[in-house]
Amino acid sequence: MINEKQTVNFEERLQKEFDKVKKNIKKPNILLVGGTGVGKSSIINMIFGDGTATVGHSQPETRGIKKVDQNKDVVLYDTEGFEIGEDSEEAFHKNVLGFIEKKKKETEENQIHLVWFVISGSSDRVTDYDIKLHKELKELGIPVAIIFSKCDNADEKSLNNMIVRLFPTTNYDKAFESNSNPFFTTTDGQSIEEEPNLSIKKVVDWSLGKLPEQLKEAFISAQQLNLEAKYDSAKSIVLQHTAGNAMVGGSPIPFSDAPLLILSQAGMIGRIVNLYGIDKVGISDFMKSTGSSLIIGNLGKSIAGNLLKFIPGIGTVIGGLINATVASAITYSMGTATNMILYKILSNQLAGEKDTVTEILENFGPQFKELFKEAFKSKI
Amino acid sequence: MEGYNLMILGKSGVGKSSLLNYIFGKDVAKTGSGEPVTKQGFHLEPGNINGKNVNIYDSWGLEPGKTDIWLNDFEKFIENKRKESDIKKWIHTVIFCISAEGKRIEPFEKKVLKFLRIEKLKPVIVITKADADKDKIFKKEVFKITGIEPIEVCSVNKIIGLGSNKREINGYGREEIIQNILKNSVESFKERFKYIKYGILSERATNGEIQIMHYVSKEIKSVESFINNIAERDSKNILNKVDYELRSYEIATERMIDKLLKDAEYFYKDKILSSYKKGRTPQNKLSTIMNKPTKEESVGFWDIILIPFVIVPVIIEESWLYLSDESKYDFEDRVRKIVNGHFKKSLRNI
Repeated sequence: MINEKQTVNFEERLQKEFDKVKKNIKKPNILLVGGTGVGKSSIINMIFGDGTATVGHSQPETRGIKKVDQNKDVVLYDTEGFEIGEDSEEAFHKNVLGFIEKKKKETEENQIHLVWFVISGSSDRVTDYDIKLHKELKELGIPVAIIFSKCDNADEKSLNNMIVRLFPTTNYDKAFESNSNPFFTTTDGQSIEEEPNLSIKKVVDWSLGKLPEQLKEAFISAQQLNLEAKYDSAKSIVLQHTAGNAMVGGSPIPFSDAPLLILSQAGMIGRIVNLYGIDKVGISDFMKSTGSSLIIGNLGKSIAGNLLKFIPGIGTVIGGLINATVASAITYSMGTATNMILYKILSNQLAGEKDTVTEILENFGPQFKELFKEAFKSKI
Repeated sequence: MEGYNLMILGKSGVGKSSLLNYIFGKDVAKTGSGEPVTKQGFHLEPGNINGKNVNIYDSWGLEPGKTDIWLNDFEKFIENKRKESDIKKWIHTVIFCISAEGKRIEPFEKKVLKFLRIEKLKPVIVITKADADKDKIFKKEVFKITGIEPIEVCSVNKIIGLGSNKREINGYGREEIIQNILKNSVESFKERFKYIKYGILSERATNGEIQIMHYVSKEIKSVESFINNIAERDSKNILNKVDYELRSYEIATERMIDKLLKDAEYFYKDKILSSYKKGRTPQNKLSTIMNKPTKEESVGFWDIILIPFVIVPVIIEESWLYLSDESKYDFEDRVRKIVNGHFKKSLRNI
C-alpha cells in the first residue's frame, strides 16, 4: 500500500516537476504596437487575465519598450504608445524597429515571434504613419496582426475606409466574419455576447496558428480565452506520456514498483497543471492558498493516496504484476482525470462561478477518483 | 471676405468637421473617414451661415510625422494675426477639439494650447465623441490640465457598432457649446481690446510728444528776443497753449478708441452673435458686458484728462519764479520734460 511518506513524496515531486516545467518552458515573445489610449492594456488583460497589464508591473526594457512582467508563459513587450510630435515619432520608430532587429540577431528563443498592432476602431483614421509602420513590420518577416479595438463604438463605413488603407485587396464585409487578419475587437462583454465576431479569441487562435510548434504550449497556457485549446493540448500530452510509457522491453513491472510508476507521472501532471495556468490571482480570491499549489496539493493526495485502491484487481495483490496495458491505462487515466477536473475548475472560475469552484476543490478527492475510474474502465 | 473668423484645431480624426456641421446645422465642412481629409495648411473656408459670412480656418488635423510642419505653419499664421488692430481681421473664436476616446492630452496638444495661451487666444475646449467618456473622468482630467472647463459633445446621431451589436445614439452638447462660444468670444474680445488699446495709446503718445514739441518750437521762435531768451509773460502763454494742446490731443485719442470700440461692438453683434441665431443668444446680457469696457476705460481716460488741470498750472507757477531771463533752450527743455512726463503717466494708468 502507499503510505503516508509516499504521499508526501508525490506532492513534493509534483511540485518539483511543475516548477521545472515553468522554468524550462519555451516562451513566445510578442510585441504590442499602438498609439496611446488605443486599449492595448485592456486587450492584454482580456487575453492573459486581469491584472496582467497594470502600472507597476512593467520595467523599461530599452528606450520606448517595456517588458510586461507578469509571471506568465509569454513575454510581452509593450511599446510606449507613439504620441504626436516629431521627436516622439522618430524616436519611436528607431526604438521599435531597432529593438526588433536587435532581437533578430539573437537566438531563436529571443526573437519577436508576433506583433499585435492595435488601432482604435472608433478613431476613424488610419494615418500615413500607421501604414508606414505596418509595412515595415511586415518586411521584417514577422507575423503582424492588425487589431481594431473599441469596435463597440465603431461604424462600418469608417472601418471599411480604414481597412482599405491597410489592405487594399480586402474590405470590411470580407474581413468581418473571417478568422484572419484584421481583427475587430472590443473588451465590452455585452457587445461580444451580441456579436461573437467581436471576440478577441480570434486573435488568440490566429496567434496560435502562427507560432512555431515548440512555443504553442506556453502560449496556450498563458492565454485564457480558448479553453478547448488547453484541453486538446493536455490530451496530446497524455497521449505522449502514455505511448512513451511502454516499459522497457515490454516486460511487466512488479507491483511493488507501482509507486514508482505513479511517481514518474509527475512530469506529465506538472505540464498539464501549467497548461491551465490557474494562478494566484484567480483562486486566492476565494481560497487562502495559491492556486497552483492548491491544485498540486490536492492532486498529490488524490493520486498517491488512494489511487491503487480502486484499480480493479490490483489493490490487494501482493507480488502482483502490472502489465503494459494496465500501466498505460493508469497513466492515461491520471492524465485524463487531471485534464478534466482542471478544465472544470478553470471554466467555472472564468465564468465567475465561485461556488462551483469551491465545491470542486472541497470535493477534489472523490471527484478525481470518479474521473479516474471512468477513464480507466474505458481503457481496460 | 469680412466676417466671423472661426478657427478650429485638433488631431486628425477627432471630429472637427463633424462638429462644425453639428453646431451650424449644415454641411459646412467636408467630413470623411479613412484618409485624413483637410489638406495641409490653414484655409479659409468661406461659409455662409444664417445669411452671414463665416470664415472658418479649418486646420489640417495634427498627425504623427507631420507635426513640425504643422507647428511651423501655425506659428507663422498666428504671428501674422497677432498685431492686427483691425478687429475684422482677428480670429474671433478658437475651438480646440480633443477626442474622448484617446483618454489623454498628448504633449503636442499641450504645446499648442500653451502657445494659444501666450498669444492670448483663449480657446473653447471641446471633447468630441464624448459618449466614450460616460463617467466624465476625462473631462475632469482636461480641466485639471488646461484650467479651462471643457464642453462635451457628441456631434452626430449615429448608428454605431458592428454586426448584431449595432445601435443608434443621439447627439448632444450643441446648446452648451454655442453658449460657451459666445461667452468666450466676448471675453477674448475684452482681453485683446486692452492689448490693442495699449498699442494705440503708445503710438499716440510718441506722436503726441513730437507734435506738441514741434508746436512749442514754433511758438518759442515767434517770441524769442534777439538775445535768445524768453520773457516771463511769453513763457506763461506758451505753457497755457501747451496745456490746451495736450487736452485736445487726448480728447481726440479718446474719441478714436471709443469709435473703435463701438465699431467692434457692432461688428460682433452683427457678424458673430447672429451666426448662432438658432441657439439662444442672451442679447441683453451680452450688450451689457460689451458696454462695460467703455465705462471702465473711460475712467482711466478721465484721469488722464484731469491731470493737466492739476499739474500744469502748478508747474507754471513754479517756473514763473525762475523764468526771468530764461534762455530759450532751457525753456524748451523744461516744456519737453513736462510733455514727456505727462504722456508717460497716461500710459501707466492703463
